[in-house]
Amino acid sequence: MDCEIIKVKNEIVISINGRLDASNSNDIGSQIVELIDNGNLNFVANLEKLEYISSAGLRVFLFIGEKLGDKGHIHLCCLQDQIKEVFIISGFSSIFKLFDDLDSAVSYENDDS
Amino acid sequence: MKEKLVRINNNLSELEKIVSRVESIAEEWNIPPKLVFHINLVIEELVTNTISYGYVDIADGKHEIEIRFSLDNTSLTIILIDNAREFNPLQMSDPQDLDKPIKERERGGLGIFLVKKFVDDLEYKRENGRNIIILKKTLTLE
Repeated sequence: MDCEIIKVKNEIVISINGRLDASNSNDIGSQIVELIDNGNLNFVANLEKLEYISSAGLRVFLFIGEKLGDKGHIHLCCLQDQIKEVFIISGFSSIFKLFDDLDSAVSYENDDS
Repeated sequence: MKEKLVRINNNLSELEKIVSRVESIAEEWNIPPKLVFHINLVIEELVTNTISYGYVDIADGKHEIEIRFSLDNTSLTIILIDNAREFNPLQMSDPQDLDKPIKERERGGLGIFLVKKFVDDLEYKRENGRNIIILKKTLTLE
């Protein structure tokens, strides 16, 4: 797993590539926590190149979502079919906003900002 | 019937080894990618659970976890064997609140819930101080 972090408009876009599993999910979690601690509250996770996710990966998003609370958001975009299936089955598709493309995720008008 | 055996230690860094072994077995046995994803997921959830919680009340040290794969015409069977403390995934209740907002969701149980969703059959046995979990995935022609 590797990730790339860029700023687009007012959003921090985190592209996560490869596999997000129990052996590496804490790494990405602490990177995002650091960004939050530095005052960033608006995130988009671009999952276009994410090939695999397990419950450990899902829990990172849950943790970040909880940490941001009403002050910010983390939206997800560009999920591959199998990743989307895991989000739907686990019920996570109803607690996060999923977008088909990065543009709509970044330009979505949030009521928290 | 084709068979393969993978042995790992109780360390999360072994997940990588499982993935690469599963990939090569899948290639040899012509298992479609969609299924490979599900196989990796169910093994990771169960093995991670065993490694993280299974050995707490046993003296520290190295433990071996065995993963057996077998393939016949209709299904792929995966058997996980460990000597961790007793854990029957079938006795775990599913998270009841998958649709509730983030703060109200109960933690835990998510991994095992996914395992149940992604296999067609799950059996559990406790024999000679070992957990034996038998998972079946029906093969559909694609």
